[in-house]
Amino acid sequence: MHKTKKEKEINSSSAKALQEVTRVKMAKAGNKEAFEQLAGHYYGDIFRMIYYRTQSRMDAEDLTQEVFLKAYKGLGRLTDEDHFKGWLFRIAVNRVRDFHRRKKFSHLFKSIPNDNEDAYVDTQASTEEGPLETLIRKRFRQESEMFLSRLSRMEKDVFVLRFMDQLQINEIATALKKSESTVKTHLYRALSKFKKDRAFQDFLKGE
Amino acid sequence: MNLTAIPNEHLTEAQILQAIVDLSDLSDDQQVHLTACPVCVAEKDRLDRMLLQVGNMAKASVPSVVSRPVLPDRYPGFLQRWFSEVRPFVRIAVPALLVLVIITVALVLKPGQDMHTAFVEEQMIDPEQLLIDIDRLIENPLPQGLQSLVSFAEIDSDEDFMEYIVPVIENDPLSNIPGKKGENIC
Repeated sequence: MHKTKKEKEINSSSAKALQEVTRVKMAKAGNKEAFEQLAGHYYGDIFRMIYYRTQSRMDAEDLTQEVFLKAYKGLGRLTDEDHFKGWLFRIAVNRVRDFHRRKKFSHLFKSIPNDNEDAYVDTQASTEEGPLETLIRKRFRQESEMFLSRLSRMEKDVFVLRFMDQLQINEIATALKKSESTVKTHLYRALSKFKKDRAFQDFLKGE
Repeated sequence: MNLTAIPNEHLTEAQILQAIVDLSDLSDDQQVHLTACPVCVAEKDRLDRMLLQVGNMAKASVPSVVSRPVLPDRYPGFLQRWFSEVRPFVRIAVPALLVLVIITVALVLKPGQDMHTAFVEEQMIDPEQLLIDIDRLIENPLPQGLQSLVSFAEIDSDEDFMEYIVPVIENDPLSNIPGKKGENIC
């Protein structure tokens, strides 16, 4: 019985993968509708991924739009249709890097106060949630940022893509243009640091 | 549960982490152990749960998505697609190469220069005829039609007329210009 359920799950996921490959091929052939379906499917994932890294709703929306526009125009460059998700995340990773580079550069010329925290609270205030949830989210952000600051850039990228964006190892490898073994090595190191971080673990346990 | 299938030693911390990264990286024995040993299973599950919590909390900290990507009405044309698909250095190299080819072709062919060379060559075919033409021009610089209107021979011989055209200073009552007597003004 259990095996049958598992088999059904496998069949369902492979059918979805096949459907996605077909859509990617159609989009590559110039079918706008097929691309819109793909964009609708991944819009939330890409928006979330960018939002974690920018902490600004407006920037996240703009960058997400840019990512899909770039993907639409450059779809012909995608050689392996199976890797569409990873490829899309690679575009997003590069857009976020460009964004931070631009921001760093503009900060050299004007002194802008660090308004990330306010932006975060503002964003949350617009949604329908109580003050306790807002507080928990704020603390999660503080704790996760503290933990992530102890990781190297690569460890951080891999950890966030794996556990926050919930990508598979092969998708992370495509997104970061690294081999799977490199991704695994950095993920292992990041996990070792996670295991040692008692404060973050206690927070996650709700203590 | 078949306890005899569980090897005596538990998985190390590193092996548990390795199992979280990719279960298939463990040896077959270790994988079997991880499915049967309650201590190791509990430790792996504990970490899995916390990592899942990281994902859930991260997801919950993002505002809900309302907008959708706006795509251009027309699918990008061949040139536009090519331009966005090729690598940046190719984008620069190809037009640069085209310009180089155009310049090279222009320098090699040089149509203006070729025509000029051909004309000179044609003229050099009969140098004697060329010398005859030059002599004729020295003697009669004006075309035949104009020669009947002007008679240079008469003008040359008429000294009064020449003095009228270019007067000598002492004979010019209107001139105040200091100069040697008998000298032409011009």
